[in-house]
Amino acid sequence: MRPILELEGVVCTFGGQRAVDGVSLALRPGEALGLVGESGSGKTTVLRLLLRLARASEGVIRLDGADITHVPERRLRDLRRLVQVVFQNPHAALDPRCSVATSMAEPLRLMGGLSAAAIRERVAALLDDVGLGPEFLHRYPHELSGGQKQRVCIARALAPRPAVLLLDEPTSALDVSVQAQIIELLIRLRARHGFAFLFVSHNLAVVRLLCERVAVMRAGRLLEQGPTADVFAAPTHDYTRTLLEAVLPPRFTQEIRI
Amino acid sequence: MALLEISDFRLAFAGYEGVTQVLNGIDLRVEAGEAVGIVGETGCGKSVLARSILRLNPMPPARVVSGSIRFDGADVFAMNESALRRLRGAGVGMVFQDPVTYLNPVFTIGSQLADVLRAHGLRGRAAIRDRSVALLEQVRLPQPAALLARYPHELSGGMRQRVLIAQALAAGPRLLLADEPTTALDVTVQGQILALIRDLVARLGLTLVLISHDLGVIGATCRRIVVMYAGAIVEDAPAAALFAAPRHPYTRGLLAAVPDLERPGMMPAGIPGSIPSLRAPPPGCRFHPRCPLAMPICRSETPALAGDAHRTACHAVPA
Repeated sequence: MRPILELEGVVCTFGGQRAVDGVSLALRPGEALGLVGESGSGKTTVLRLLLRLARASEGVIRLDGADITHVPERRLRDLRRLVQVVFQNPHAALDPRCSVATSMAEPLRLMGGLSAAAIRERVAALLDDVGLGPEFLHRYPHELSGGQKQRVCIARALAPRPAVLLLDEPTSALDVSVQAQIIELLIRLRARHGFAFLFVSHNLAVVRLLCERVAVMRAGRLLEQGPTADVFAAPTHDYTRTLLEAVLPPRFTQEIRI
Repeated sequence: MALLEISDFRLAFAGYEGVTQVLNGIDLRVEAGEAVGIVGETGCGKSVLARSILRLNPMPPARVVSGSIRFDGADVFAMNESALRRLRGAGVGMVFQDPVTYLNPVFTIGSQLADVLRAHGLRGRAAIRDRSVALLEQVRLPQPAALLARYPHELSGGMRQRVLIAQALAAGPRLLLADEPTTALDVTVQGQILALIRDLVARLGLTLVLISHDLGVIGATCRRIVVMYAGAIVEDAPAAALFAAPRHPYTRGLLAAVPDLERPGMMPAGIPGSIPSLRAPPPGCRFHPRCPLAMPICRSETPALAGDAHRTACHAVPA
């Protein structure tokens, strides 16, 4: 199957530093791919490259087979219909002056071609999809909890029916009891809508639950990738092993670890 | 006598929208030599409790409604300024979450360590320098003498947290109070910092109170775990017992919500509902609206924290 999103030998440089250094990665339609690594590994830059928020200095980025590496700005709106993003911090991702309905309707209005009534209907359906009732339509971000805000961000990202969802640490600003709800929601939404997602995270346990494939990055380079179960059971790279060993399980481990 | 003794401590904050009961009757004794972890989610009051131990919450808006906090027998809220200065540093050394914001970017590491040492009475350039080098060695920073001339931005996050730990140890405290000391760090660095804390606690004979939202961090460093919810302690137990046989429904929910890499077949379960507002908390047990075991009594009466080695505050689960 042709990848929906693909990077080939991509390099991204900031002030002479190679933040992304020759990364090749493919996301197939409907697939869940985890991208893991520590701060400074380049995983967020990969995500920004895919959104064209950063520019590649070398290599090719393809969306559904088409080279988008240097597509002019005016054509980006079409691309963004296919590729949507959910950021880490839901408190900063919603305009405090816009109601939930307004925030969610914006991508639909920008796409064009939908009547006001159709947009209203779609917004209500999406809100229901993420487990929020119609009473949330006219609330403002400050009236929502962190988990509710992240649900709104996910609903807004799904509004243009994207083929790919990019998720940048979508649960790391949330408490664990809320994180578990969002994990469950993502699994359910993916089963229903069939989108592919790239899940950027430092939390290996969450990646293990959500993603069938995983790629490990360090210092701008891709160290290894493969089925999550295989990579985690038998990592080929020392650094992956170090990362896995650093995970602290929710148990009394003080005698056996560290 | 317990090193730290918190009795029926209630703290409220006055704000535009009325009074918020942030800590609602905390009872906690920590004996010298213990390693106690305090775990809870956002807004449960764990950081406010930590700051209360050092009287760091600005008053007003904070106000002690009842109860007391005693360190080594002395009432923290009755201390005069000089006793309070001794408590902060010589009694209790505190390590905060974000090593970036607690170091001043325009002063060198050496000058910020010297400030702490001078504040606790050390005099003489050579003596201060020697002690600073020894402190940086103690937290296993390489080339400590050269490090004194460096600025915070020249250090990695892990190195900065080591500098803050050195600062916390500068006046020779008996209690090390660490509030989310590794939350801002990468996992591999987190392991190193926790190993350092455990090693220092053992080597210097410190008492440890470590606050975290992460049960894995607590499980790797503490022998006793205190679980907080909505401003109150709901469970307090030896670490092994808490993980093996949690009693309070909130503790059980919290443990069931954590994804476990070693058990990939287990889907984490969220706790339905959300954390209550402390301005208008639910009557009775504050967890009852989200509790699978709630009974009529839970809606009217606040359960007492009962038991000896394993304390639980729950009507449905007798201690």
